[in-house]
This record gives sequence, C-alpha cells and structure tokens, in this order.
Amino acid sequence: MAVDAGFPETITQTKRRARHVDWVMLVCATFIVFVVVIAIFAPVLAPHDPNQVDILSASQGPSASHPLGTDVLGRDLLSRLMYGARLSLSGPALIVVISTVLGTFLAVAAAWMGGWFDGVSSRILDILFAFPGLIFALLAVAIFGPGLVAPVIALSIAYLPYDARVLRSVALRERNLPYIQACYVEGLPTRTITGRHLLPNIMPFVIVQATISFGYALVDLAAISYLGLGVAPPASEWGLMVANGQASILTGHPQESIYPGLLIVATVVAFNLFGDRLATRWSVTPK
Amino acid sequence: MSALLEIQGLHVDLQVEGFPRPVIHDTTLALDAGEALGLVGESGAGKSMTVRAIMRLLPPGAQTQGRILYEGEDVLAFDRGALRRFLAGEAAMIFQDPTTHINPVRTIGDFLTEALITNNDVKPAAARSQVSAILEDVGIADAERRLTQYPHELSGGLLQRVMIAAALAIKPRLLLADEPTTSLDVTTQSEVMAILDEQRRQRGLGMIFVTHDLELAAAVCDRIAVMYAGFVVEDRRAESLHEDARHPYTAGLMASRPSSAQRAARLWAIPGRPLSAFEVGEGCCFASRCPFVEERCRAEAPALTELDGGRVRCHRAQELRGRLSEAFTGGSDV
Repeated sequence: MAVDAGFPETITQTKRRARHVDWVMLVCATFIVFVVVIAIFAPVLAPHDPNQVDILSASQGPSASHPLGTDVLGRDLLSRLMYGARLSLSGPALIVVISTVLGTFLAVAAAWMGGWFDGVSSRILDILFAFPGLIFALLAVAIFGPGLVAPVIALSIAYLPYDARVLRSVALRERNLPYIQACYVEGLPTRTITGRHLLPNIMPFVIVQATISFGYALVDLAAISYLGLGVAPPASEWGLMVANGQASILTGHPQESIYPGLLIVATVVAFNLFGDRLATRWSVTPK
Repeated sequence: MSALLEIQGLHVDLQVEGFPRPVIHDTTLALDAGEALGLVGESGAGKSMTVRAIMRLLPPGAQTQGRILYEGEDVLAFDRGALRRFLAGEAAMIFQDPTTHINPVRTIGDFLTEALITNNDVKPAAARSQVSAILEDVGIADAERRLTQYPHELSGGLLQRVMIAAALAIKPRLLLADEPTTSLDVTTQSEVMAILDEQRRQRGLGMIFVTHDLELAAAVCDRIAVMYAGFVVEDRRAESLHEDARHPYTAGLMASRPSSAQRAARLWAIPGRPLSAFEVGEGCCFASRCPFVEERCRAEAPALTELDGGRVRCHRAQELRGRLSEAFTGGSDV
C-alpha cells in the first residue's frame, strides 16, 4: 500500500505507484489473456478435431503430432483442452456477468432507497446465503436436467448475495458522501445521481468483486462438470476431462486428468491474484 | 414585503440508537426576498440542521414538526415532484467543504452544466456558455479552461467559487450557505465572501448564511438570528445586535470576541460549556450559564417575543435592557 500512517499520498507518490510494475499482476494478466485468446481462436489453433476418435493411438504420451498425448479414445488432448477452454471460461463468465449486474443493481437500489426495500432485499439475500452454491446447482440440475444452462443460472443466483452484500455496503458509504448530497440538492433525478455519479464511483469495487468471483465460479462449475451434471460427454470441458481421465490414472496414463486439472488451478489462481492485486492498486478492499 | 421563507416552530428529532433525540427545539424565522439572514451560534446549536431541514437533507429517520413555508407552501409536505422543482429551480445550497461536495471523477464543466441540462432542458452547448459566463461573474478568469479541468486541479478557493457558480447557475431565489468559507484560508475567505455577497445583491437573492463568525455575519447580513441549544434565542437587525443585544447569550458572545483595537490579557468566555439540544430540560435553555438567572428561568421556558424591533427569547429581556453589556465586560477591556 502506498498510503502510510493515514497521510493522503502526494502526487509524486501516486505517480510512482502508477509507474510501479507489479510483476505478479502482469504475469496473471498475461496468462488470463493467453487462455482467453486460445478459447476464442480454438478452431484455428487446435491441431486436431477434438472429437475425432482414433483407437489405434489411444492413451499415447507426447509426440510430434499430439504434443500433450491422447486420451483413452485416442482424441488429441491439446485440441480438447483448447476447445474445453471455451466452455470452461464462458460458463463462469456468464455467471459473473449475471450475478454482478443483478447484484450491483440490487445493491445500489437497496443503498439508495433504504427503508423497507433494503430490509426485505437484505433478508432475502440472507436466506440465499444459507444455500451453498454447489447444492443450489445440484438442485437446479435435478429439476432442469444436465447441461450448462441450469448450473449457470443456479450459480448466478448463488453468487448474487456475495456481490450484492459487498457492493451494498460500498454503495451505502458512497451514497452518504457529500458530493452525492450535493447532487440531490441540485434537484437531480434519482436515476441521474445513481447512474452517472454513484455507479461510476463504485465501479472499482464492482470490477474487483467480479474478478475474484470468476475464480470461484470456475471451480464450482468445473466441480459440477466433474460430477457429470454439467455439459454432456462428447463436448470437452476441463472439469469433465478430469473426471473422464480418472480411470486411466490407474493404468498409468494420468495425462487426461492432469493437464485440465493444472489448467483449472492456474486459471483460478491467476484470476484471484489479479483481482487481489487490482484491489490493492485501486485501494479497494472487498469484504 | 411578504416573506420568501418562513420557518414556524421547527422541531427536529434524530434517531440515535433507536430513540428520538432532539437537535432543534424551536426555530422560528422569516426571510424576505432579497434579504440576507445570518444564522450564528456554537457548534451543535442547530444551525446546519435548520438549513438541512429546508433542503429536506436530514439524515434518515429524522422526524420534523412545525412548518417551513416557501412562498406559502410547506416544504416539509412537498411530494417528490414538488421537492425536485423546489431544489432544481428555487433553492440552492453552498456547502462548507467544496472538495468533498464535487464528484471527483467528473470535470468542472460536467458538474456545473449537469443540473441545467437535466433539469432545465438547456442544450449542452448553451449550458456551457451560460456557465462560463457565471464563472467569469464569480471571478474565474479563464473559464473555458477551468471547465475542462477536474476538481483536484483547482485550489480550495477556486473550487468554492465553482460551488457558488453552481448555486447561481440554476437561478434560485433562495440561497443557503452553510459555513461557505470555514474550510478556506483567511485571505481566500475574504475574496470568496466578497464575491458571494456581491453576486447575491446583484441577483437579489434571499440568503441564509450559517457561520460561527459574528463579524462576518454582521458585515454581509441584514439580520442575524442567534441559535443556542436548538433554539433561536435572538433575532435582530445586524447593526443593532452588535451594539444592543437583548439576550444574555448574545451579549455574552459579543463580549467574548477578541478585539484588534485593545489588548486583552485574557479573552473573556461565557462560563460553563455549551449545552446540546437534547440536554435542555424544563425552563430556559441558557439558564445553566446565565448570570441573570432567576427561579422563573429554571421553571418555565420563555417564548420568542418581540422587543425593540427584534425578537428575543428571555423572561428578563425587558428589565435587563442596557444592563447586559456591563455584566459581560469582565476581562475584555483590561
């Protein structure tokens, strides 16, 4: 932290802080961009069709044609990982977008209106808190059947209270700052004050919260796929690959589980560290 | 002249840990169009709360009694639409600390034009030229450049002028200034005050000017109301208040001012500590510190009554006429 002993930092300090290169953040950001680019351009970059079965070259180690080897059905693991990135990243992205947008909206509304709306919405969120996200998702899958849609919606709802609660307290603090009161005194309508003044000023918190939620969402969604409740088998998804590769570990071919497992860990760590560093850099502390 | 603003028996309770706690007992004031009224008193006397009540800017849970009539209509009873029209076009407020009252991430131009564009349907280009004309009025020379700057690029004095410009931009008839110069250094204070005073007079605005500074209030205001512990205790023309206070508290305040003409070994002070509004019991709010206190003062609260062209809240005001200043000349003439 650049702010010490409660003194507001000087302009030189701010500039120094802005110039200071945070290597951890840079590495995380590079990795995130790398994974996202691969997910987007998977059809161009993948050396093989991810679903092409080739029994003759099943469970191979690394080779020139299959850099990361093949799975038990002879499918190219590198291609499957690349295509898998699409589902594995777009799922959490959807969850984060839905829960953050709804959460921010709810938080700002609750902080602004206060009174009964704040009370009722806070109690509903408290009730949602009682359900762990995974249980919620299992319930949704049990009702709507497997696939990506049910867990995504369920996890969006499960993540909503976390975002809403953190952002509500931020919005509440911001709402009582003098400049917001000055806007009110100018007779500006509520939507202008909240939309053009309050929201932009809590954006750093929203972005940090979303970044950190992404990591959790990725793990949760991978866990659901691992349990066989997410995307259906021919499609490739990291959590699903870990599950599929389990049997081969015993026969001495752990590659199908290990690579996606490592990717999940690395991506989650990258997002969490990035969010954490971003929070420090913007002097934003979630929770 | 009929009153622009009339506050009748305003009483405000705030919620403190779930219980109502009074911050204003009885504010009764009137302000004519184009008149400047100074609201003075110690911290916690209820000055700012009075002004905030007029703008309906009280903290959540606050309960009000009494009426605040703006041109005969009760501000406290306004619905959302009426309140917005009142805030957008009739009343403007200047705050104590300009640096915290302007959104730090928007430019000065955005800040100044926003109300005009959203509330008064002025086109952005027209709003910009209107606003830069007002900036020139408040003594900001390179208005065009200032409009593109951010609040942190301006000094406190400049920023307070921007606040004044923002208040003037909506062409209000009532200006509420809550210690507008307290956060500025002394030389800037006098400049900003001169500009505020000049612009107010030119535009014929009614103003309530909240301050701790009696001299300043006397210099820029027509009338001064003195508040103590949630009561208006005296309300009199500025020039006569100085010479001829009728309330013991006002006389005490006058006697405890330092004088640049005479050297004082020790500054005189009113004995005791200022009471908070919620500590006032039966009887007069000033009874615990008043040198003229008698039985009746402790038992029965005096009403605000007319006396010598002003109003005073004291049982003994009439008989004490002329004797107040002697009682308080303790140390100030040494």
